[in-house]
Amino acid sequence: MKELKLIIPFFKYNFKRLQIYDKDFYLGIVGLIIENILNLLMLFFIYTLIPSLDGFTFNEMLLLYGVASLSFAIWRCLFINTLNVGSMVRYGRLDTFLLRPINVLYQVMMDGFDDDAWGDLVFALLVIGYTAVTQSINIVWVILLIILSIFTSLIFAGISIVGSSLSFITQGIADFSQIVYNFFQFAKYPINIFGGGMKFVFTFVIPIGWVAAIPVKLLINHNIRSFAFMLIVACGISVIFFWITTKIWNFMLTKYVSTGS
Amino acid sequence: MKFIFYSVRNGFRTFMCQKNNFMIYWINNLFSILLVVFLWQQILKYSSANQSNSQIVYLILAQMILAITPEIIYRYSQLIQSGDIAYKLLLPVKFEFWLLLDTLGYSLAKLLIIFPLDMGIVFIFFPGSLSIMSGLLLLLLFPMTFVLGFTIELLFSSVTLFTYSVWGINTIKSAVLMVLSGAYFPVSLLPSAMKKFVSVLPFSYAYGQYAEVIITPTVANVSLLVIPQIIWTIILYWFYVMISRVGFKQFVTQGG
Amino acid sequence: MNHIIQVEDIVKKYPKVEYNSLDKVSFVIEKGERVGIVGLNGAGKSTLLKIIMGILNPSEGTVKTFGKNPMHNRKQIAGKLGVVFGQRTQLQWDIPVIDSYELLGSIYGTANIDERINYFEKYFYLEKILNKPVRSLSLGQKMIAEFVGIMIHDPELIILDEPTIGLDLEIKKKMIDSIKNLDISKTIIFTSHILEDIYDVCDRVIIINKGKKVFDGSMREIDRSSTPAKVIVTIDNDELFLSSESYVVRHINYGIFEVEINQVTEISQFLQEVTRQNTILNLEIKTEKLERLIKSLQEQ
Repeated sequence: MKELKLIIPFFKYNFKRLQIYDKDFYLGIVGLIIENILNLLMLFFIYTLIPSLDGFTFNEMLLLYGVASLSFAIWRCLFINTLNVGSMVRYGRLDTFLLRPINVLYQVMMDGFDDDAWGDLVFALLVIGYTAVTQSINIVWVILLIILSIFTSLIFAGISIVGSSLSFITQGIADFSQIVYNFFQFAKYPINIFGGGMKFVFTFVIPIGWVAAIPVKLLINHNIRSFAFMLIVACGISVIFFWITTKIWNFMLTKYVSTGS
Repeated sequence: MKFIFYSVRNGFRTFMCQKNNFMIYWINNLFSILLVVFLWQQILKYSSANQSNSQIVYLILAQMILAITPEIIYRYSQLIQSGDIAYKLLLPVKFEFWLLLDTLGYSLAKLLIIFPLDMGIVFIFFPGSLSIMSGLLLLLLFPMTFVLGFTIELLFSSVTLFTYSVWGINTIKSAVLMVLSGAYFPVSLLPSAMKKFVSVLPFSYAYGQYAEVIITPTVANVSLLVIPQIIWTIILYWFYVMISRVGFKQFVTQGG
Repeated sequence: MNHIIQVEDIVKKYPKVEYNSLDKVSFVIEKGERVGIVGLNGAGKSTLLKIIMGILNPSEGTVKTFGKNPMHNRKQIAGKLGVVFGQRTQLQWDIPVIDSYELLGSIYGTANIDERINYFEKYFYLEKILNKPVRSLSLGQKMIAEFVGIMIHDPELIILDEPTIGLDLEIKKKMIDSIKNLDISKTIIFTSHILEDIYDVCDRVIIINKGKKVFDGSMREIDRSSTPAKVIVTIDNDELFLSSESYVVRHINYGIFEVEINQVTEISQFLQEVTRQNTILNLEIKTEKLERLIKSLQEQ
């Protein structure tokens, strides 16, 4: 795979670009720390009203939050540029990508870094670490959860990929990739709080329930055997979902009509 | 007068020209409402709080005003970085006033498509929770609420005069609004210390308190909304003027 | 069977607009040919190029680039292709040019980019450009950087879509010199809406008008056809002296005159005459060759 070999040159290139804006980097980090802390504060306020939400105590809810955030942070590290496909189509940048001998989606992924995402990643790991210690969760399960997050980030990627591929057939005017943020919000809560229809959708159609809600629920119920089984299922579902969405992306790409100049 | 009309109209048309906006704002608004409704139904079911239906309607209304309030941070920084602000500053009217009118037009267009959706949800799933009086207040109190919301945005936007990290500012703003606006967490259900804290800050008066007044329309409530709104708008605008004065000066000397 | 490009009866229609569309265009380009594709703005040049490059699907007709369908073999073809799009860029605007070249080199698997850069050093003062971020370059320097960028991987087929747009004469000349002196095995397609620009580079010209191919032949054929020219003269007073009376002179403004000349070849004679008797402040020669050529081709 030529694309794998190119990861290092692309990383070097993107880091050079980051160095130019080092001052702004810190404001981004401050922003995300505030965002994460206030998110947790909200959770804390909810638990001043009730002792548990769908069987999750505050600390268990933290674990759910941490796992969902980790998965989303990995999405941000790797796939954030899918949000820009609309403008790439409008300004003809996509044409440049099409004229290079490597995969287009890969070039979109590598088209610059979101440096703040690394901070998000660290924060999510800290939250998971904290709950692992306070809840005395076996280190093996923690590692498995982290591996799971790498896979489930593909679910968020799939959503933003399909959303962005709509820009191919609308000359970049309609871009629904931002919708991934809405799904991230859903992924942070237990799946049972939603109505039957949504639960079905989140399990089988747009499988964000597998990002955190389903596996973490089994883990906190100490249902270890089915937890381990469901981890494998979750990874499988992530890969299949991602595979299907890249097929949709490729199909839309063939429909792509360049805007012309 | 004509200037006001044309500015508002142009903002309105800007939104209407982008047909996909309809879908995106509908989906965004619907998803946010689905999340707060399901989450809070669950919370209210097990908590000691009563009147759970009116709390849910409150959240829907607060989400609606949150969706309608303009997001001008990106726009503001774009005007600055592209240098287009020079033209706007040359207008014989205040640049901020033009921006207010333009975003008002844009927001009215958003209101036009989101309002029926949200009211539909309220009337179908929570019938009888809004009176005629509520409807009347919804319209009457909207302008001042909008102006305060706009001023808060403007204040955050002025920071973009000093940094390129628009994303960072926007994140901070969203996070602050999440906790302090009352649009995600009813102010009346916050822990009492926090409730006091929120009530001395401006944010809830542009979102949550507005929704609160509409579901419990009393004279006392109305005045407890409008008076802080006016005071905060003046204070925040004054802050904005101070910050932007420094910012523009720095901007001019750099020749950006 | 060694056609580099073969297009047959290509039709491209856009919904609602006629602008940029193509109607039954066919031609073959062989290895080593240098072809100019000219047409007025909106004639369909860019559409045609995009179809050849495989980033746009024709509504009808077949196209083969390097003997293959470019839509289905896009990545393979891209490796042998170098494209300059007039107003678009391969380069990242905020970092030094050399960094972008290094990345491009790795994308195309070019082992030694220094060698390639050295080759172009003799035409352009790249030294001055290489370590500057693209955003601090002048328009001409940007275009040079862009041009060298697409040549980094030594492509076999070079497509230049309006590369001279907005360039000043000196840089235009340098760029055209470097293109002219490329290895003869390279196939070059050069588009412009100005006929004179492709004059020095191309030996064959295809003229597209309103989506149709109206001319396909050698550059010399076009040269033979006579074309009138217009010269705009600005002088220091309001009276233009000319000894010959065969010119049609139109007074435009104070000190500014438009002179019509029947044959391009008579321009030098006119210039001698006009400079002898007047103090010239500015001279501008307009041939409108393409417009007239298209008109005369349509009349035939």
